[in-house]
Amino acid sequence: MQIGNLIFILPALCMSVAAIIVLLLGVVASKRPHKGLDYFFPAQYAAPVFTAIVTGIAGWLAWTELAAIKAGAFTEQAVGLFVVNGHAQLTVDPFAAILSFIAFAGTLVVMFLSQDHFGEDMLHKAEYYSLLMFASVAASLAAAASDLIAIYLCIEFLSLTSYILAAFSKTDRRSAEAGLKYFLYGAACSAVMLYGMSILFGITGGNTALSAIAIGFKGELANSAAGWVAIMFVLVGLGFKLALVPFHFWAPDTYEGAPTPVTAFLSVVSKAAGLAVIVRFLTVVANPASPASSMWYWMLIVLTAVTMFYGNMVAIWQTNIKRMLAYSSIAQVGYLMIGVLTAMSSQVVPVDSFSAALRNNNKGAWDLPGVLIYMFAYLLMNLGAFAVVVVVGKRLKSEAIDSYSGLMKCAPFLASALAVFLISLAGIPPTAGFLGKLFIFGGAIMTGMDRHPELIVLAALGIINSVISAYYYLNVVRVMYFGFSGEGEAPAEPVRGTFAMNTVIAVMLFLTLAMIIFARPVSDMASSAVYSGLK
Amino acid sequence: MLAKDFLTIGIFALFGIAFIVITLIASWAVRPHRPSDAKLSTYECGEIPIGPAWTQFRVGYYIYAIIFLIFDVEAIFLYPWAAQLLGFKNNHAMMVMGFVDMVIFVAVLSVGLAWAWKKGVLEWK
Repeated sequence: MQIGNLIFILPALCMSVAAIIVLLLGVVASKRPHKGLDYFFPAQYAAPVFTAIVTGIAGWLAWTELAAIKAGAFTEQAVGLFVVNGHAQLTVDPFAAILSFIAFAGTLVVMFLSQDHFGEDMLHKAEYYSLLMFASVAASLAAAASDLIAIYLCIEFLSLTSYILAAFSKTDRRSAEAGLKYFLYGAACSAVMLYGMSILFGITGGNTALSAIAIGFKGELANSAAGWVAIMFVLVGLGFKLALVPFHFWAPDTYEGAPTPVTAFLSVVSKAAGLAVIVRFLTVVANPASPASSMWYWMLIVLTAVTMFYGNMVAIWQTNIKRMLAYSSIAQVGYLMIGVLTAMSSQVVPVDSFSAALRNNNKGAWDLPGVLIYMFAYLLMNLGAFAVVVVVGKRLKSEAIDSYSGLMKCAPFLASALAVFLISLAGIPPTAGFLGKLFIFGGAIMTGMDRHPELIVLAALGIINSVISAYYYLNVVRVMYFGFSGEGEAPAEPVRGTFAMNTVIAVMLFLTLAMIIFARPVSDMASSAVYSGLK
Repeated sequence: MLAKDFLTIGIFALFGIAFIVITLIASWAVRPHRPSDAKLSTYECGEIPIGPAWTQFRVGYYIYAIIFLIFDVEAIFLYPWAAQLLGFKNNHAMMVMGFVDMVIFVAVLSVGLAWAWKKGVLEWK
């Protein structure tokens, strides 16, 4: 392996070092609470500074990769790291680079939310921020993992840090419950996933690299019972990370109980990592010549439809805004999965690597670029909504939707920002969420017209679900603007966020609205990231 | 080839289970049955046991145990690494890289220990 290739995981390496520095600064400072380092250099300021730098590096890396593609100077060998027998363990292609940028950018926003949520006098401050940083490292590496062992390690690294973060409010019983539930479900699902991986390892002749498995996993073997069980078991573990429907039971309780910034982290960064892995796994390994002939394709189609309906139907009845956003994020994963399934079926022949899959793919397709665009839009609108929930929840000491009644009067900026984020989540133009849904549903319909009618059905179900979701998203807007008919009373004091929080919300708001103006460059960037034609 | 591999595992598992079951049944059939108070009491290094065994332990024990376990596993991990490193006797670059990798690994663990130490985990209060 060439040492020079380590530059492709430079953001993750820098972040690990920064996380260790923050951790050590924390213990040095904790001995002298009122003088020295803690005063000048507390963790809640040091961590975002480091994260901002790393986000910059990740953005630069993604940008250079895209520029290299334009110049035609990009090869598959150049981006494979830790190559064993010609198969890379990490593949930092532009798809991975962009998702890792999304992970770091999301973590940066979550840190600002944490500052506001926990305030100055937080217990174990340095540990909290360094855990967040380590979790973002895991998410960034998971985006590039192209080997079963690397996938398992990254997913577990991310899970272990997330369990602790979910239970971070030690004195809050609900937070402890959130952490424990997440841990128990996670442990069970990861055991099942590991078992599936071991079967996959065994039946393909002892290979762990996805590209090597793809060569062995074809024809008879792919349709055998062992192959079916292996793929389904791996999907259990990945489905858990994404909160896909039969594996979603942890999500509502964990999202409600965990501290709000951690909920935001779980719903965006953790899902970005799970999505990256499932895209890579499905397009490389579980992708036979005709997806329609394989059982798991149909299973995933059904699960995607059920996920959308379940998330939206249950979200309607929620009275707690965090719980509502939890169920809505389950439904959002359903929309993203439509894009993933489209990518799986717009594939003509089975291939042995991710970049080859993309090369063979229909160049004009919208599927995977749509997933990237939707993921980015989801980052903006979901984190934006959580930012407002953090500010309002901290000031009003309540997370009930009722308590948002009349918010327009006492906090016009926050209320209108939340309204835009929710409208975007519902997918109404001219917002980022609309752009994402346009690409995903449009891609599904385009591929579906060709030879996969089931994708058109999925897209239609997705559109029906968007309409259903508009009901409960806009219900919050109604409560904020016209008050709640009943006991809810408008708060007497004006609700104001800090300068930092208002800036963060304003930036997210601007990007949510501006993304549609830059639709063309954004979609060009996403397509060249995906259909890079790696040589 | 595949079926044969799994057959080996199956036979191994079968023998493993059979060994335990047969040993237990054989000893149950052969041994004399003469219970007394001293024999039935819980063995605690010759001390007379006080109270039930299912009590709550201080959480400090677990933190100690976990930190010990990490370094215990690390020590075991060092042996295959050292054996493997000797295999690269003729490849200087690989040897240096393997060494540097392990130094980073141990350094990361040491940071964890330093953190735990500073945090006061190792002090028994």
